[in-house]
Amino acid sequence: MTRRIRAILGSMLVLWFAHPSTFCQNKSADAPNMTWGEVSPSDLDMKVYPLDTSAAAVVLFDQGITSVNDELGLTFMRHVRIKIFSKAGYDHATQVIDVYTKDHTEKLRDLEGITYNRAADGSVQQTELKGDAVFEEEINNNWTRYKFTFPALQPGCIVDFKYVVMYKEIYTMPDWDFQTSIPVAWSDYKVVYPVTFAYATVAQGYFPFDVSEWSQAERSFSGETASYLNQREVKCNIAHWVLRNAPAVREEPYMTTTSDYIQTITIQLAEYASPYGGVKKLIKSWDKFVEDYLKAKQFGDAISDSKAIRRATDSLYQATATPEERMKAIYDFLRSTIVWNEHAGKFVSQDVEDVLESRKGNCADITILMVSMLRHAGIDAVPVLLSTRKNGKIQEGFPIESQFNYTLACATIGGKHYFLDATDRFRPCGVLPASVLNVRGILIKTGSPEWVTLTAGAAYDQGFTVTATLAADGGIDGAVEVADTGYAAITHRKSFRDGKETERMKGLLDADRASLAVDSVTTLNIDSVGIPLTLRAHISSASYAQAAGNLLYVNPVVVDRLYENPLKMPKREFPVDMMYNEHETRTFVLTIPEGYAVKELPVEKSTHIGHDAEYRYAATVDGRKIAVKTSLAFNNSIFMPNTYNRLKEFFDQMVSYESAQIVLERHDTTKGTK
Amino acid sequence: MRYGLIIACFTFSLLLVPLLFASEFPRRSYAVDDRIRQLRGDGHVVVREDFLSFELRNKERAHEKILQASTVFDAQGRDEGEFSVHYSSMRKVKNIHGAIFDATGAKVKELDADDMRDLPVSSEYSLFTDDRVKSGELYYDKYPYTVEFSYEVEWYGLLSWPSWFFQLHGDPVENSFFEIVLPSSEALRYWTNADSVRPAESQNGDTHSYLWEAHGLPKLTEDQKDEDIVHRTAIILTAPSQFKLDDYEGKMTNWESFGKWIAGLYQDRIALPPEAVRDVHALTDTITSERGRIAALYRYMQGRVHYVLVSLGIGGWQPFDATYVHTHGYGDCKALSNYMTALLKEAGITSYPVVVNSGAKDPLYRPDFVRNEFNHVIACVPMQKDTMWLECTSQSYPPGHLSDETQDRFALMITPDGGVVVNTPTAHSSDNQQQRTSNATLSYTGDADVTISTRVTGNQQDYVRYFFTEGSKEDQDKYIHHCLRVPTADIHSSSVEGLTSQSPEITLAMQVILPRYGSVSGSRLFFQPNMMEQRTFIPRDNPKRKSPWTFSYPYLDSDSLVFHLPSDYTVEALPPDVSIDASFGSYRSSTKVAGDGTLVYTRRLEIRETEIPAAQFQEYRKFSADIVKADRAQVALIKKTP
Repeated sequence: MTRRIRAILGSMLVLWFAHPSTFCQNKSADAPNMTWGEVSPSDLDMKVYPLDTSAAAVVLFDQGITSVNDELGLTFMRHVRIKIFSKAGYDHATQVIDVYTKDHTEKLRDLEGITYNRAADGSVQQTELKGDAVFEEEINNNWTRYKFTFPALQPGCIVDFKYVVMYKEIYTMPDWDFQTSIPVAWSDYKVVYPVTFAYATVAQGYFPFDVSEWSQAERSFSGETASYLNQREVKCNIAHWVLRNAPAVREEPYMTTTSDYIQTITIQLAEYASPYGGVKKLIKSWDKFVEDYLKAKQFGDAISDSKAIRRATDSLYQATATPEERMKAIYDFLRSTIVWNEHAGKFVSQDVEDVLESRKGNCADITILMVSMLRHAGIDAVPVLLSTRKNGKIQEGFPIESQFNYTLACATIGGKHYFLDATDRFRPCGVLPASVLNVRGILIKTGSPEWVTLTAGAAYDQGFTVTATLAADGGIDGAVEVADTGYAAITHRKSFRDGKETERMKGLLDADRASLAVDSVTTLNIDSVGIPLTLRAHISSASYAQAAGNLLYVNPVVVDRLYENPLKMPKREFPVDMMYNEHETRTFVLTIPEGYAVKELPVEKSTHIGHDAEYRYAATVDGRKIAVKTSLAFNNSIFMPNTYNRLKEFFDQMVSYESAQIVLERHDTTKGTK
Repeated sequence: MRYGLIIACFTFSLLLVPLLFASEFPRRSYAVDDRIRQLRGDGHVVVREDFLSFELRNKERAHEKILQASTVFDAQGRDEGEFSVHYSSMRKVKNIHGAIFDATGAKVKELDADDMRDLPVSSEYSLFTDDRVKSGELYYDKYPYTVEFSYEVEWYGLLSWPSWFFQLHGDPVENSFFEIVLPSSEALRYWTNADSVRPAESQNGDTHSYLWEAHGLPKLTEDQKDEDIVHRTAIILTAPSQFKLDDYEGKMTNWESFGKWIAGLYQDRIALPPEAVRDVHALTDTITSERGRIAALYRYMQGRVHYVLVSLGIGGWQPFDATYVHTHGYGDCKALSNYMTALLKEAGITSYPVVVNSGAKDPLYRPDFVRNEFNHVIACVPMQKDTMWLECTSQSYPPGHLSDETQDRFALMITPDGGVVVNTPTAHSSDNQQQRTSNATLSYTGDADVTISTRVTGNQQDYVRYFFTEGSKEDQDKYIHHCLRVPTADIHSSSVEGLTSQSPEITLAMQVILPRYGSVSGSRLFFQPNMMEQRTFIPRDNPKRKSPWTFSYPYLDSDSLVFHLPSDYTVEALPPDVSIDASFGSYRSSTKVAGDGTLVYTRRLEIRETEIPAAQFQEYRKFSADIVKADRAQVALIKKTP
């Protein structure tokens, strides 16, 4: 049931537009002395990290400086020092540096590494990282990966490395992550650039910086930069951020991906003063942003009304079809024939005609093709640009292109928006993938920019019906039927076709925990997206209920029982986000053995959280038949931290209600087995 | 006639005009006719052609042609359009073609080679390898259609020749061809589980061809798919007699000669730097017993170096030398084993690397057919009384301990004179024990306050040892939660003993609170006295099963748990005592009232054999079902009436 609940932490974004006056906080922090080639005895002899005694390693120091260099490019220098306490921390002695080497855009230089150990005689032993221990791997045509493991690892050692990456262009500065999977004692990022350039900065995370300061200083330039700026002594902006004692980002239950929670800074060139006069803006208004996307060759301009599009579209519906019918026909055609290549992407990778031909594409290929076909069908359709949940929230005050990573279509019929994403052949028209639920997107259309919120379009709906007969020895034999609609159907249409249907059904029913055997699994309407999916199976067990003398104890919640609370943390700082609403009803009809009567029946119980969540449990007896009905409804998918305790208690109550057992007693000792 | 069922499906072309000429790709129509529709049965895919032709040029060069074509009948077979092929400096891939044919057999589209991805093969365990993979895909929307992929491989260096599985995945197969073409001077060595299936042989100039074919194999049933690989399909394994890899030539005519070749790769790679020589003597010169010296050096190795995989070309088989391992502080299994033998040699102890097939026991890893099926290296010290085995990739094993991944199987000891077939040690259930005692106090709300002490030995302690020496604190907590089965368990304290002892034995003690361990239901309180060892798995029924049922290792679990009941409840019902005996193992469980308000639950499960023959499969199923029932039995307490 609620095992499907996925809760993610809403990520808070702090935003600065690089302007001196906005920066003025400094909680005063003295930089530790981390001279290359020297380690402090206290670091080397540290036995455990006091702020996180369970840490196997800690980043003592991570410093990066990005500055505009003399070649009108960027120089990024980094120095990292890691203390390793135990063998569990050895993984952090293997480091990876990915460099975008296509067209020599980036180049790695001056990589050096040292391992420091306390030798038996008490002296500090240094072991250098050798050149032959750095491996260069071509990931693809664009990226090269440098990989190395430090030598001479011992519990207690310190590994120290530094390198430089040269960037040919000045547009995007390297991102900086202030956190990682181990604690970071000191993380420090500084950027230096001439005041005639303006960089926009997006910070994501939950911690106030210890240093967040802005200053100006003169720097000397030569080469291309000096001639471009037409001066050698140049006034520069210096931005500096420090985060101290950042905790490890650890996998916890109900997190989507750890990268959502890491404190990060992203920096992109916003505008620069052109030497030929005037200011060239790279970050523009939303009006300009939308206009550029409308014109972009690989986006708005790719929307086509070619003969191939017209032919493919016209064959899908009768001329008399209503706009809704046309929309659905086009959506169903794309959903069922084009294979999504699992790549997000906000730009098309091929002409829409080629998508029709190759039957595969990224999400922009499929979306632009859909918009093309919808328009040909006379429907007002536009692409929507957005950022998936995993990619992080869009800052609507900040028109930076790199915030977006995904696109889908919006059709407007009779003033109503329909959001269409045909990347999954099992998803009915109007239902969106979980990855984009509750996020905001911008419509790419002429006129003033319009933002929309993408909602689920369906809930996770399941109905269980179990009809079973109990034997006096505790055995059970019966049939189960599961009726799925909405997200439950989408999920199971996919999973119940891989040849492991019995295993899938066992999982869905949580059969192992109840020691039930499951067989004869059948599916009904598995390909008929749009009508409910029905799953059926036979269940049996020689030992479901427990016989003891004249008594028989049985838990009537035979399948899909909630055994434990999915919420385990004592408190929560962020919302529990279930993505979509959920409704589940279950009916268990048990026929008790002949000669037995009910001695004790669980009482009717219910609980609710306002209108947001409701649970009911009721048992009735009619002759030899016991009927137990449960119903669960989440009419809201996001629970804020102030309702967390109540939500947790709600689950506790469910666990408790569903553990109730019926006591049966044999009144006629001449019948039944002995 | 163990393979009767499979063989009956083969039609052999021995007496027919061969359907294809040696080494040529089959070129047949992919039209989907009634015969193919019939072969499809209720499946989604029919394999139309499964073709491999391997032509040996000389000891180190070969040319291989591979073609795979499948007819896809519905969307569920669409994955057949996904293609990938591995390559490396020793295995170069060329002429990759892919195409889709419609139901009439007409070609409707082709794979664009530029569309293919080309990625390094990396894993979390490897620092660097030169393996890469090319992949691409082809789809079509008018079912049925046929997707065909073909490519050629040039081998530069040959240690292994191809194997053939006539029906690996269970889909029906129209045509399966496996061909080996050798210079006439060369004899073919092969192994098969289908002895009556003989290759068709033909002479063509100065080459000799061996061709196996099968046609019209129906879809495997679920029962057939349940079998292990040798009971599921006909298999041909081939191997060279002579071979060359990089600059190293060898013979595989027997284990001794193959071992000799491996010995050549290890030759002159055991020189240690002076610092290591000093360390060895400082550590061992004062220890008199050989076992003691081995143990000291094994611990030194564990503290000094660790496992990292770097594999390039011949480096997949040849170890880094001992000096490299010592100065870099890492190496893979062979480099660490070689380093260990170097340390031992310096201390005057003779030891050898041993190559072995690590992992679950593989029925195709056979002492009766010499080929390179090894994937791991350990070290061993032959001794007067019993040989000492050293797993050098472990940072935490006690000296002489092997995991179930390398135990109880044949292996090849690499001596300078050649390979010697040896058997790694076999464990008994008494070696692999888990002994648990606990004391629990139940509250009237069902919460349990429990102290638990668990002693594990042999293979049963491997995980605990790993988590508590190389795992993070989270891993350790997860392991405890996993043992307790109650994720909400609140661990008040835990301690572990024996991590540095010389024997494979660990004791884990803890005090935990289990909220709602028992459940209150009306006037009753129910709880399961078997707190931590509930079995839920009963093997799927398969009356005709031919494969044995296997375990990783034999074991003996014993639990003795004491429960103090809440004072306002009294016992209404106890689970019955259960006692089951079988030739392969036994089970006992019992719940008894012991004095005032106290229950004692005891459980003992012993599995003596690692392999239960197919003939006893039904008995084992019954054994499992009875244990599942007994393990989940509950105690019913009822409120005392005042």
